[in-house]
This record gives sequence, C-alpha cells and structure tokens, in this order.
Amino acid sequence: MPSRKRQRAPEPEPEQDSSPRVRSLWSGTITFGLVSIPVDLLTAVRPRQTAMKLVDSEGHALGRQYHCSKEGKRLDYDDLVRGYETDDGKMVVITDQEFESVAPEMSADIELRSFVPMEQIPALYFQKPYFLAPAGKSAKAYVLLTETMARTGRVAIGSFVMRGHEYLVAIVADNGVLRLDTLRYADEIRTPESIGLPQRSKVAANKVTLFSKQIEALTHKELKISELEDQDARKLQSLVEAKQRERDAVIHPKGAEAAEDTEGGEGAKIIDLMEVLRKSLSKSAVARTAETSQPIDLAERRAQRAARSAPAKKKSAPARAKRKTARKRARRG
Amino acid sequence: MPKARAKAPSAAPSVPWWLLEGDEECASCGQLYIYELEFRCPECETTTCIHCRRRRADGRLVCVSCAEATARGEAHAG
Amino acid sequence: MPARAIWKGELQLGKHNVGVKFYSAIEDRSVHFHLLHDRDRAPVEQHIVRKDTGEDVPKEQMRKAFSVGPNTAVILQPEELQELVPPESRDIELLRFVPAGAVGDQWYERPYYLGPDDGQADDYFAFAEALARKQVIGISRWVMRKKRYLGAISAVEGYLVMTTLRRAEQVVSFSGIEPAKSATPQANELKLAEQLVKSIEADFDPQQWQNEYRERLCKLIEAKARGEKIKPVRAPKKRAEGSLADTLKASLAAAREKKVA
Repeated sequence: MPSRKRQRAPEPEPEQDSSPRVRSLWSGTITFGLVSIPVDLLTAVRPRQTAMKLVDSEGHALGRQYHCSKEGKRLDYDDLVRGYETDDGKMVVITDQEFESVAPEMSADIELRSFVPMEQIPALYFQKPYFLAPAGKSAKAYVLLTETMARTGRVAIGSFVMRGHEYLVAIVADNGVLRLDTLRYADEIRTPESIGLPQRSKVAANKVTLFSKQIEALTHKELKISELEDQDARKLQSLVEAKQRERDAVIHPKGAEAAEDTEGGEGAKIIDLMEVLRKSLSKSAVARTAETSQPIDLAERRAQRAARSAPAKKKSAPARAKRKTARKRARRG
Repeated sequence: MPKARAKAPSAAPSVPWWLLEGDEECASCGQLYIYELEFRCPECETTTCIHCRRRRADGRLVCVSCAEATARGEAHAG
Repeated sequence: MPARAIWKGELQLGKHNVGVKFYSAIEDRSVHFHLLHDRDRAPVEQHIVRKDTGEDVPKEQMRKAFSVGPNTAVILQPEELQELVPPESRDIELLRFVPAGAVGDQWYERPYYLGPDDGQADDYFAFAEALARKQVIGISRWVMRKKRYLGAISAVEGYLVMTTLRRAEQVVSFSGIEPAKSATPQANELKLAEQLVKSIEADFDPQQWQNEYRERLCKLIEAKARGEKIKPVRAPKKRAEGSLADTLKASLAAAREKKVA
C-alpha cells in the first residue's frame, strides 16, 4: 500500500466548488471464468433527507477532534491506530500493512463462484445495494455478463473484501446495469430456535380464514410510493420552511463545510452515478429514485448547482484544490 | 483486456477509510460516520458511531443512553 | 440462551390486534476495532469543537441546523425538534398487502423476528399461516423508541419476520441503458457466456459460504497477541488475456476439467 500523508483532523478550509466526480467506494475486478471485468463500486442508496449539521447556539459550525484519553492532548490522524481487544483484555494493534496481508486476493477480485435463481435468496440475507460501473475498457465484457444473467434469469454469487469486511454478494442484472447486493453470512442470521420462540402450535382454521379475509381486503398488486416516503424528512422540511421566514433562525455557518452544505448535496451523488454510467456504458442511462419516478434531469441539476456555487471563491493552487476535493469526498463518505 | 487494477479508489482520499466521515448520522453525537463502522446497541438497536459506545459494568458494549439508564438503575427496554 | 425482546407492539388487523415482541434477526459477528493513540495505546476520545477556533463546546450549547442553500442553514431549537418526535404508541399499522415480489431487495434494510406476546400464540401463528397462504407481505408503519419505522411483514417458515424498509427517497434505479455498438457482444460470445453460466449453476446454499476473512483476521490478532511476527503477503499477479471469445472458450474448458476432476 502506498504511504499516505494524513492530515490533521478538521480544520477550517476555504470554500470551493466541486466538479461532479465519482466517489467510488472500491475498485476491483469481477472474474467470470477467466474473463476479467474491471469495475467501480458505487453506492446505490441515497442517505436519508433528514441529515443536519451540528452548530453551536450562535451558529458556528462544529466538528470532531480526537484526543488521547490518557494524556488529554489533541491527536493527528497519524497518531491513530486500530486496536483489537483479546478475550483477556489485551489491546492488539493491527497495522494497515497487516490488514492488507490478511487476504490480498479477496481485496482485489470478486470471483463469481456460482449462478443461482434470485428467488432462492431469502429476504433476510439482503444487506445493502451498490451499483457496479464498468471501468477502463470493460464495457463489452460488462454488457456480456449483464445480458447473460438477464437471459438465464440467474444471479451470481461471490465474495470480496472491502473496508475490513468480507461480504458475500449477489450480483444482479438490473435494467442493463449490474447491481451488487451485499448478503449476510448464514451464521449472522438467527433462527426462531436460537431466539427461543415458542414451537408452532396448531392453528384454528377459523382464525386463519378470518385473517385471510382481512389480508384480502387490504391486498393490492403494487406498492403505493406515498406510503413509503420519509415522513420524518417531510415534517422536518416543513418546520424548516416555516423557520426560514424568521430572521434569527437563518444562519451562515463559517467553516470547513460551508461550501458543501447544499451544492447538490446528496443529490450530487446521483448525478455522479448517472454520469459514470453514461460515460462508461450508455449515453441513454437515466437515474431515478423510487420517490420521484421522474428521471433526475442531469442538465437541470447541473445548472442549479452551478448557480449555487457561483458565489463561492475558487482556490488557485491546484495541489490545494485537489486535496480539498479528496477531503470533501472523504467527508461525504 | 485491462490489467489488474489497484485496490485504491479512483479519488483516493488523503485519510484512511476508517477515519472518513460518512453518510450516517450518529444518534448520540450528531456527527457523521461511515456505514462500515456502525455500532448497533444490542439492547435497543440504536445506531451510533464508534465513539458513542460505552462498556457497561457487565462488560457489554452498549449505546450512551443505555449505559446512562443502567447507571441510573433503569432498564432502557420496551 | 434465549434472546431478549427489544420492543413490544400490536399488529393492527381490523378488530383483531395481535401482540408481538421484536427480536433482532441478526447476530453481530464482526470484529470491532477501537481507535487508539499509537504511542501509548490509550483509547481515543472524540471532542466536539468549533471548527474555526478548535474550542470545546458543551453539550447544552449544541444545536442542529438544516442546510437550505450555499452557506445558509436554519438553526432549530431543541424544543422545536422535540415537537417532531412522534407520539409513543404500540400500534403497528398495516397499510396494504402486496405480492412478495413487489418489493425489490434494494428496499430491505434490517430484519426482526417477531414472537407472540403472552397469550397471543394462537393468533400469531394463524396470521402467519394466512400470510403464507396468500403469498403476500404487509407494508407496515410503527414508532419504536421515538423513531418512525417503515417495514414489510412476511411469513418465514411459519414465523413472522418484520424487515425495515428504506425510504422512497433513498432507493435509486436506472433505466434507458442501451450500450454502444462497440460494447454489444456478438451472438457467439453470448452463447459461450451462457454455457459458462450453466457450467457453474447451483442452488443458493448459504451454509456453503464462510467468512474466511473474519477467521484470518481473528487468527492474526491472536498471533500478534502471542507476540508472533507477521509476514506480509502480496497479491498474486494477474495473467494476460486474449480476445473475449477465446477467454470464454478457455474458461469453459477449465470449468469442464474441474467437473471431471
């Protein structure tokens, strides 16, 4: 692993607009037989729309700092290590290099080990969805795998290591895109027996009939999206709208995060996502959320963002700007 | 076919992944943390960052509010 | 040891409410690390500070702010946020039932086993049976520990499982993908790829998959605790490849060999 210059924990930085670049969580290779398909892993879930910033009562931006619990002094990123506690209470520090050597092959490849019918994977197993975008010149092999899975109606099972965890994954062809669903391992799922639920008793036929009727009365073919909307976000947003009219409530937090507060916010991610797939796979790719069902208009969102970030000052030194972009990405996740 | 690619993400952050801020908001301190480092309280399912877990007298790691509830002699249940 | 229930609620089924207890269906097996100070191995503490001055800020002075524009946010007072907290309730509202396939797996967040509350076993198992027969899942809403939840209730081998769902604003999908001509595979390539898929087809058997990394990491930690030296391991180098069709043919040959062996 290349050595990294770590920086000091949160420090105020000047504002700067961000170009819509991809924030990939992981890059590696899918191996399908002897065929290698380089891919980037992108998040497929937007954060909830309820995120708030921490400020003090006067509106100054707050952030975290790391301190040593023994010496009380402030620590740099370079001073921090990862430690594990053994059963007898000993702390063992594992270095980045040691982590790397736990399973180097698993960190670089997702080997497709078998192809299974999607409906055989119980809902209990699904953890989190991601998108895979073709990287480099892999578009053709990527499309080949996607089409083959769509034709055979099967999904691929494999595993890989990301951020210190091994994930069992299902790779699914989803409207021409490969989606990667992380799955739980069997030993992470409890059973009614292990929880200690009572044995199934005989059910009274009349009760089953009664419940069946109630179910029927409420059965529909499809979901109603308005039932799935974030009620917390709605309520929070209406409070914010009302408060926006109060002069005292509107603040202009000074500090490192000022520039990134809203410029596209989390929406920027989707633009990035769509752009990645447009560049690497298809010019016609359209991203949407279940909520809007309306495609997220790339040009419109970009214009909005440009307008918003217009007042922001640009940094001239390229090295500085680059670092800031990295940090900004870091902050967003 | 392209050669094997390095593991590092395309926009390599200057801090290691385990010190990144993330998309998840800690229920206790309000700071952001990354999904992979989520702590889930075994007592009440509250999700927090790794800084907001506490070791109780019985050795179990729990969230701040469950630890405080235990200290006050209440059960943070139901 | 039987698990402890994390919450009790009541499924609202017309005039018939069914009391249920929630149990996490997930057993956390990840190995969690602690953040330590390199030099003295002491635990690291987090301080919440002002970004401009680095000064510590006491808890009672902390506020939440919601961003509304560039460098603009609305500050919210604790009592205003308190008003947004949903009222406590034991009700689990069932909004509608849909065929199990209507909810894509991207929606699923975290599963809970439900168990019958005291004296509710008959109704509990009857409702589970009815759900299984109808092959539907129930879209549900409830408030647990001052937080709103959205979920899908289903029957799994005679028991009820409630899986929390992501919100509509979070779930992203793509459409309109028509790959460029240069990225469109040839008929013979598709045929070969299909044969390759067939050669490693199987049923989903979760027991077959082990978390190898976790085992290796635990061994590494134990070895280090005993004071053993750890040799770094390098990733193996990748082989070069020929055309897509040739690589597929070679893969098929390798897969056949494996089957014979």
